[in-house]
Amino acid sequence: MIDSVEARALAVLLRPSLSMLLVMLLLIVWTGYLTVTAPDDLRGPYIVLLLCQSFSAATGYAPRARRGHFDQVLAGRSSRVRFAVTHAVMSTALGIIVWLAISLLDALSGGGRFPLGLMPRAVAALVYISALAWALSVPFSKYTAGVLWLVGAVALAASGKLMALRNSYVAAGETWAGIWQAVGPVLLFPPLMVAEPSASSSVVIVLVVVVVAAAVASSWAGIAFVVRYSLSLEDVE
Amino acid sequence: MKTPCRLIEVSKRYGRQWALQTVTLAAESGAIVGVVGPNGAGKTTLLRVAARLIRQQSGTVDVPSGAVGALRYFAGERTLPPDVRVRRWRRLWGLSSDGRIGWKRIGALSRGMRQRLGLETVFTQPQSAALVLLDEPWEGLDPDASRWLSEQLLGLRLAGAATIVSSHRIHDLAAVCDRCVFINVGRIVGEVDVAATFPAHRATLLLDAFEQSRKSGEP
Repeated sequence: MIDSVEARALAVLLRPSLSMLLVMLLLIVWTGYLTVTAPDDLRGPYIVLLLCQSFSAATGYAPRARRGHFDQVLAGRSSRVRFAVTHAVMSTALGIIVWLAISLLDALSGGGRFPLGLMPRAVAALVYISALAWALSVPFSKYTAGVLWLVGAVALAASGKLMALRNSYVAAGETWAGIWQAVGPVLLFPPLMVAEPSASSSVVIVLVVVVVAAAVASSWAGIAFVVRYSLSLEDVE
Repeated sequence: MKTPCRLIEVSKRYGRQWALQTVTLAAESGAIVGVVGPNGAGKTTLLRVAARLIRQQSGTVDVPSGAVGALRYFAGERTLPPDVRVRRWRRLWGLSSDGRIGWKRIGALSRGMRQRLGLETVFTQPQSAALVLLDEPWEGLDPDASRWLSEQLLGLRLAGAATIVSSHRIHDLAAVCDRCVFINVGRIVGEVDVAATFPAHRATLLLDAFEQSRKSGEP
């Protein structure tokens, strides 16, 4: 599904900024520090990484496409599906690699404990954030999804709704009404799935399915946009 | 003879305005076809439709698809990513490194250097190119680079690629193209075959044809 020429070209065109690389490196260093000082609770790096991924995966597409930056990769393509999939993979790769690195440190420090980052609920949160951040930024410029999500999170926190969302998620019972009560908080603020383990396991299974389905729907929307978007050239001078 | 590019009755509209109206154009292997027209005539849209970057409202576009490099398109230096370093860009497209400017970002180069860098990308491994589409390739080039470009175009012809070049630089175009089509308000309004014309007379022939084509677009 991924063409090597496209992947190499997009690796150059979508290369993360130096500041983003530094932030990711710092996250790994912080995790390393926590594995020594507080190995029982590594939720912090995972949650911060989710926020970073909402910026990192939001590489943007349409404005750069209108400037012709993807012309040489897209010229002659009868279908852009493969290009769109490669764009999504290359955009989300950095965050996923760092997530795996943190999970590895978590596993090494946990004394046989299964790392939080590889639990289905945490993986679902990462997949959802990655897909949503990528897809939201496709019609817009770089970092759009991160800014939107950050502003949303601050607004929720400032209005006291963030705690309400958390309580709603934690209190979700094993009924359809209870699960429904947890869906909204998780879709609005997916770090809850990493930070709060207390929802019952059957609720978590359903939420994982819902969140992954939302990730698939977001990716599909992003891919559909790339495939259908007209690449009329914008005069930037 | 193969015809790697065949546009049949292609129409493209932006909103209510037609950019192309039932345009039919073909380019055979080893031929250089010039596209000439005033600003806003539809030249860029024509090339982007041929490159499959824009979908036409109607008509057929038959161009090479699949293998990367079979169809090459360059719309000018402003389409290069300004934040990418030159050496990274050259390595990506298999170009030899340029030690003097390799560390610079593309956006920091002069306009002419950016234009040449983009063109070099198009001309790498000419034997694997079936169709080359160039939009205003002489823009920003100095006389030496202009001569280099003309030589590269003739090299593409020898390699058997079909080439379509849009340009306002009629003298440069006259030196390389086999035939020229004139476009105005989205329609092909004339075509001149210059392959058999004595080189010194080609530019005059094209300039006369251009004047005629401009008049045909006037209300």
